[in-house]
Amino acid sequence: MAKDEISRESLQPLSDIDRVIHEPARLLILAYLSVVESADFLFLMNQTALTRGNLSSHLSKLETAGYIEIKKEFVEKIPRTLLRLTDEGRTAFQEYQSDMKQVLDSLSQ
Amino acid sequence: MTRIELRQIEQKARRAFQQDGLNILFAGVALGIFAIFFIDVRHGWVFALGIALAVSMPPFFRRQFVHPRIGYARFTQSKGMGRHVATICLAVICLLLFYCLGKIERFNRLMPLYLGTVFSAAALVAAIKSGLSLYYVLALVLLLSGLAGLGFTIKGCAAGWVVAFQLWALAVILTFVGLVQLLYFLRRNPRRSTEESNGKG
Repeated sequence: MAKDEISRESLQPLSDIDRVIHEPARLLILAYLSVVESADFLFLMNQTALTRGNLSSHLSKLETAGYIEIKKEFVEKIPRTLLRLTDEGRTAFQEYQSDMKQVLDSLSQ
Repeated sequence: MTRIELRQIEQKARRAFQQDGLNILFAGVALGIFAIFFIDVRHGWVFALGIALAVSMPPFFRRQFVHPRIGYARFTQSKGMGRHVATICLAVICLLLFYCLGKIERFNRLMPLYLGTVFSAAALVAAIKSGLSLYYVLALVLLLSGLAGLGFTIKGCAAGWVVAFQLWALAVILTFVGLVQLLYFLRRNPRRSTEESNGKG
């Protein structure tokens, strides 16, 4: 019984996991945005190997959640859509990492 | 995701911009220009020209040819002062050694080996940071050029001309390798329309 309670406790973070981030494509997008200051749509599309429509859809969800910022600017008269993690997004991503680490560590015990 | 996996993701992202061959191509051009100094030491301005080309040309060409194909990313700059200070100290030491080898006639013959070693070390650092095996090969070639140059100076050939030919040979090799890499990159990555690049269409 005690062992079950311990397992339930240590797996609790899994039920509270951020579902916006806990999706393979969005997790990959956030991982790439976490290692750069900013990146454009084409770069993310190449790195994540997602299709244009798929990537757009995931970016919309992340923007709605406030995790990324999408800014359109002109570079030498060419329009460029720049994406970057917001502070909220960075915090959420770090919390997700520690929650998942906690869950995986407890499962391996 | 663990810290190691994020580091691998960052390395993969950076590598995307290191496979266009532009850095290698313009490093070759710079070395070819540097060689002029070793034929006539009055032309010290060639160092400024070579460095200016090697530093300014890759970003310019990247904006024109690379970003429209694979996109654009701005990487976080290292905020640690320690690394910058260490780099500056190392650069000063290298310049001092270069000056001493040039001024003290007895050590002139070591110049080819010295330059080969310094360039090889730079290529090795690039190889470790990028993980690209091509840089390891170039590091070896640069070191071998230094050893070959040392052989010629020991045989009695004028150090200045030996270094000049060493740099020209390296310029040919690096320019060729850079061009091949660039052409391969351009072929593998077709240009995207502006709409496609911005998620429209």
